[in-house]
Amino acid sequence: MATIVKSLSTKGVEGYVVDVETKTISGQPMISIVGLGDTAVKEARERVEAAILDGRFLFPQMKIVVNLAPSDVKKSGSHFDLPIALSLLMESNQFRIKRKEEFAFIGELSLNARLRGCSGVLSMVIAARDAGIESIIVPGNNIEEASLIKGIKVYGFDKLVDVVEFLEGSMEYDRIEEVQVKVHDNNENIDFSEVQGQDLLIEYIVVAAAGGHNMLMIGAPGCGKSMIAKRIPTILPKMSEQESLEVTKVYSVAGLLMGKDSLVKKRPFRAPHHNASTNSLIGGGNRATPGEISLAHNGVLFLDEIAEFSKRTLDALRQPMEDKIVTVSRVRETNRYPANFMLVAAMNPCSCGYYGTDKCSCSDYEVLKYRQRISGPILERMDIQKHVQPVNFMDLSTYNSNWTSSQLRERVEFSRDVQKKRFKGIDGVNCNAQMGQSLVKEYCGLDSDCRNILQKVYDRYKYSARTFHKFLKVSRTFADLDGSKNIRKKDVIASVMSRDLEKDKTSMAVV
Amino acid sequence: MEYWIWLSRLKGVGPVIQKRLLERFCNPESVFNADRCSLLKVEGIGESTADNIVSSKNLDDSMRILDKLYKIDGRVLTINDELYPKGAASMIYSPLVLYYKGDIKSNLDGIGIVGSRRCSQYGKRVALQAGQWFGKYGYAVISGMAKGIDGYAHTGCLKASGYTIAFLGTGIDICYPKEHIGLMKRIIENGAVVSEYPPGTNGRPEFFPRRNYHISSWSKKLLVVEASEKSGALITADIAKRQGCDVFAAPSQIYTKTGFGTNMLIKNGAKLYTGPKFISDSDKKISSEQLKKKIGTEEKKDITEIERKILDIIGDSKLVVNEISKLVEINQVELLQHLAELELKGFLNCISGRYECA
Repeated sequence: MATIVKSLSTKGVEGYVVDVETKTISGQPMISIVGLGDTAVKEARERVEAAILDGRFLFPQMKIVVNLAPSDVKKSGSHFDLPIALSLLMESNQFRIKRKEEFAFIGELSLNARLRGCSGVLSMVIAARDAGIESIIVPGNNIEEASLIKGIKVYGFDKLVDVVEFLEGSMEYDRIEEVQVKVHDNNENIDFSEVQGQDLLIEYIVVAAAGGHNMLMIGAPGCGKSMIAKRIPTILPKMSEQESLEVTKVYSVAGLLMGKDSLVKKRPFRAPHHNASTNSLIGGGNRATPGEISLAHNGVLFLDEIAEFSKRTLDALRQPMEDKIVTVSRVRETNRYPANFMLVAAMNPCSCGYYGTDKCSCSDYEVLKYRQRISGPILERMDIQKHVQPVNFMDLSTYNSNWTSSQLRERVEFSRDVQKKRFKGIDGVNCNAQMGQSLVKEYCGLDSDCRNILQKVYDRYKYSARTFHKFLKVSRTFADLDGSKNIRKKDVIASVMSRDLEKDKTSMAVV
Repeated sequence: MEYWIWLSRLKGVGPVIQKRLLERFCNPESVFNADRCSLLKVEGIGESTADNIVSSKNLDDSMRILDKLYKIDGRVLTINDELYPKGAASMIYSPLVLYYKGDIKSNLDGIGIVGSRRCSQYGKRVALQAGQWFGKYGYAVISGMAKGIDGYAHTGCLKASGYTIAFLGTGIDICYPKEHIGLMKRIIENGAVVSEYPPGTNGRPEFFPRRNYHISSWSKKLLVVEASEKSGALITADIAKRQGCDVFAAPSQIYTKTGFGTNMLIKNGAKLYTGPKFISDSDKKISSEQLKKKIGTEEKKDITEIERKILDIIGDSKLVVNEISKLVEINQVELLQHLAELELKGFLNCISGRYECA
């Protein structure tokens, strides 16, 4: 009878249980691994053979067949080494599990029989728990990541021999190290108080963070766009346990947790370079792995020099921005990844970078052409577009910054609470930016004073109806920041000044 | 028509000889049918040129051009057409045939505006204002549709719903620079784009001086706004001077590179340009009331104490929010309310985040 041990694998961010079945048959000594494994899985036979021979074990001189069930799902990764080795040893009667609980195993083997960490552990442990498996054995390197999951016993080992001795009952698990969930100190040493002389811009950033609005910053080179963007995660509300787990799962699958081995508590900040390919941004590759937008899940995706990104790449963002989820289809796999991020982008006002100053020698037609590199639909999704003004270096000391990140975050959290209450029970809407037509009508009523202002704005700038729709949402967020039930005049005024890029157009000398 | 085009495209024969041929044979068709002997009698035509003309008696090329013109809705303007300005036709190097798209008005009162492609904000302002003014008062604004001053001159004129003509150094179906595609369309709707080169011709450096030649020969007056030491605008000014057309130059600061050429022009006798009124005053009576309208200061009512203070502080400069905030001594968030009010009332303009008084 074949020996069966439990292992796991991942598909997208979700894990599933895999049965590793091993049978020895008399015949030519050989080992074959079936069950649609990739090269990493196939190569397990070499690693397993070397690892087994390294210890006190013998490698059976028989025909060995290993099956990874379900056999019709493609699998990849090196974490099947450990379960294959163990099932082989049991099949050849070299040891028996004397413990009563049901075990699952993951881990890569080194040639001298040590256990190496692997990626996707978090998802697999969750899947194991959900499948009712009581205990899981993981490489020592992954123990902290695996221990994040409650409701399943996690054992971490460094050597194959230790695992065997433990299973045989001849050795007790003595790794009592109190598993401390290492929480990355929230945004170590960056704070908004370091940004000086940009109070107005920070106000808009707070609004963007509070209402879930995407933001575009336009400014000359070196005026501090990137510096400001990096600090945006510090004012977003703290991640809930659930959010942390979601992010950690994505990172675990992407193999980015290795070595850090902890729950991601800090909101992600991803800043891909502008030559990023569509696939690296959206997700893809052979295994349909997550892209930058999923790695920025629950955090900030910062596209610096957004005008330099290829148009196609940018336009690919449109759908995930709406759906907050992305489906990546490849020949081998189709995976769904979460992609709920706040998009923050930065660009220069024109190709020379100094539009608006005497330094700039671009003609207005060139400026417009440069700006047209960002397609309309993407610009449409940028609720707030603000110019960033350079601050005179010599004056820096005279600015007194009055807001620290934690103060700003309090304001954001307060406003988010207001919104949460408002949108309770409405599916798919968590913040003001996600309001549809009807919700805007319901929640963004204006008095005559405010309507007057909008009329004036229309007379002067001739914005489209869609833009006014945006203004209403943004002014709603302005009001929420103060906890005001009604949208006040000042909220409307502040919101109509939130689309600098469109406003510029009206003052340009073009036909 | 095909004979006209044939004549204008004869290899080795320039506009001067072409005109002599025309004079002698009355019309292009007769030139086409002329034999070698009679051709040789024309002054300036040697044996080889005559051989050349005789051997190139083929209208295929001309027909092709006409076909193309028909497709793009272009037209041909010949030198004896009454729409061809008398002044321009009398220039010795004026071409027999021009291709154009749009409408050419008779009795043009043309004012050429040329200048640097890389212009400063000052140059932009001068060109826009001039274009707007001349467009408004019924002049034809003539320029070259290049980047910078040329583009702004056309734009200003179009904004005032004026009439404008652009001379191109390419075929009339090609837009150079590309970002002016919208502008070109508007020029065709409200004027014309004209070129000596048949449709489909790509721009070449040697074509542009010819283009400049046309700008000045079609204009009665020429305004040069910002030209650096060696620029096409100066070439145009030079030609204009020789053609006897009035050259005006807008003065610039002596330290700017883009202003060097115009200042030199003034030094060498060009008229000093002090505003569009100056040019138009001499030949048109524009009622003084009309002039006042623009200059008359609007009464700034409906404005609060603090808003007045902000306007005073901004004055003639361009300031960003944090500068204004420091000078007025209120915080930026509060300041925004006032700035927005001022913008909506039309007292302030904000360009790329910099505020200036309207």
